[in-house]
Amino acid sequence: MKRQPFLNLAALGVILALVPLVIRSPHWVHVLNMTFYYILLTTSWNLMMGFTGLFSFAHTALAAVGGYASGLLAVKAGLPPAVGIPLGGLAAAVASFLLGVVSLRLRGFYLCLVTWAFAEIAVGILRVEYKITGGTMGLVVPALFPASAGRVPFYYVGLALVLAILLFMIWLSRSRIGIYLRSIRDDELASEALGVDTVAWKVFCFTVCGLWAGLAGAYYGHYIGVVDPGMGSLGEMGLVILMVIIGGMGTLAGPVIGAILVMILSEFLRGSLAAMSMFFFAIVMILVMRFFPGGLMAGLSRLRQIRLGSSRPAQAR
Amino acid sequence: MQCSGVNAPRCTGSGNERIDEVSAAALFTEVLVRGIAIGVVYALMGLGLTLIFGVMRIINFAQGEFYMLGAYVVFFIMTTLSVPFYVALPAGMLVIFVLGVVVERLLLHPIHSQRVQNAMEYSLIITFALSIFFQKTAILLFGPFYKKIPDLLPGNVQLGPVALPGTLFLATILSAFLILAVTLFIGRTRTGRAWRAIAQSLPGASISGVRIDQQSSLVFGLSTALAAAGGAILAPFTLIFPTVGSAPLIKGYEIIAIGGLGSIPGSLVGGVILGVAETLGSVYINSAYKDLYGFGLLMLFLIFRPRGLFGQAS
Repeated sequence: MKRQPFLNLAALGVILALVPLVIRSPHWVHVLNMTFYYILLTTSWNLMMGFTGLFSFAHTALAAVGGYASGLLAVKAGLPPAVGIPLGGLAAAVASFLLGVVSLRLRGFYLCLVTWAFAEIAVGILRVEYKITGGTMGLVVPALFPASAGRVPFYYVGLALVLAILLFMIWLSRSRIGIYLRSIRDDELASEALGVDTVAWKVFCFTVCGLWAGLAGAYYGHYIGVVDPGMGSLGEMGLVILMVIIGGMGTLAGPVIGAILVMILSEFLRGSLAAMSMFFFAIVMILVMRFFPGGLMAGLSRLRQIRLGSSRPAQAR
Repeated sequence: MQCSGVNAPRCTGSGNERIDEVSAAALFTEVLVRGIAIGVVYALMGLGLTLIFGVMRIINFAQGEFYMLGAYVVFFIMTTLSVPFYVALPAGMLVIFVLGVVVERLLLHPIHSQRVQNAMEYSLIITFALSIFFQKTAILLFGPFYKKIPDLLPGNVQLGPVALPGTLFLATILSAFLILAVTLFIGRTRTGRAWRAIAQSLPGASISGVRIDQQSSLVFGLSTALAAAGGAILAPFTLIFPTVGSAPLIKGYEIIAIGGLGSIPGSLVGGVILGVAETLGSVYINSAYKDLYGFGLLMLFLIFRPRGLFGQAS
């Protein structure tokens, strides 16, 4: 039982590693690569929100920070993307660390406002300082692999990142740190009284989530070949929140399932319905919040209980 | 210098020349008066948000969309029924009031029972989704194109040495009137007393016989109606389009961060400070960063003085 999550993850890794052998269409490989980008964002946002209870609107802006840091290093300093991607993650981690330090005393609504202001200021600077950042048009950055290599190499890099973050999350959620973080979410005062260094662990959470967001942004930049301020917009943040809500906040698999589901559904909504996809998703998000709190994962666990005839109460989070 | 939008100083002559022409003191006075005028309109937005927070202890992220819908509704009442603005404005506010009450009943009702673990988290996410929903609905229903309400008072109004566009002058008067009316309503009526009681102590008010859920619906409706009024009043300047509400939403939050959450004088003073800071910043520093000054103020206030200028220490 103890090893089950790791075995599941290994099985998932093997299956996903074989996918490019089956799916030959470059378009669907692209969809999967983008899905990896969003899984990195949803999983790390879920660590902030679902595990630690820190509501942050800065997450996609941190991805933009990572993307621009790595992109600018490549464009201005000629650093290879393979070196730039970790450095992009590091830059976002530093930015997130600072954000965490200044907003330590804030919770709930106030924290949400400060992170939102951070995101707007970061994106605003990227827009206005066009001489360095390329402004609204974005910055063209070199790709990680030459165009002749196709999209499959990017797939494996994305997959590696996703497996790494899931491994990290499984380890974290079973370690003492995971318990500390969840205790901060449930009752910060009580956990502090019990001797949890809430300040340190909140800053830790900010830093780690910034790191993953930055890595995701840098991966995105060197995959698409362009980074633009839109990466950090509130709309992108909405998409990430939507994925986490649909999948199930505070669970390990929820954000992953949510990201996959939303990406595949929006693929099918393309064409005449493309403009409407956020309209539908907003309705789904409202309905899930109102009637099915806990999202798909809570629904699944309820189903399993019905099948097993268990009387254990449903675990919504 | 930016020559569009409510914050731009009078756009006669081209940018720099004009600064040389007018003495620095006169420019400063004009910027200040303009900042105060626009600040009062912003304060209307802040007042709505602060009412919802004070009584319901939740955050309405969709307030900007009620602002947008208010502008649209007033526009359509004016064009289809061809009635003057002063008739369309109360009618539009009434429509949005009803919409606000319905939204509260349908979506925010669970926070009054114990079914939602974390009311703040729930309301943040659900109103965030609601704002996306309203924006997309507006695009589907009204199209992406701009609509315009004609100027309420063409020409300028001379206030001592400063000339203010007539529409902005009227917008300030209307907003100030609405703020005054709401303040009196809260201070003098039975319903207002119930709201103040809820803001002071939820269990206390409940024990004294205040129906929390009913009052919450009323408060939510009134706040959204105030946002709608703001949208309609500023529509001659900002025009009307599906995402017109995001900027006022931001202003509203900046105001309550400056003035203090839940404080009505705070939202008035915060509005004026924000209006002045933005106009001063765009004239004297860099107008490209105009929208960022408020965010800077918001961060500074929340980090160093989270209760704002007038908020109570918690």
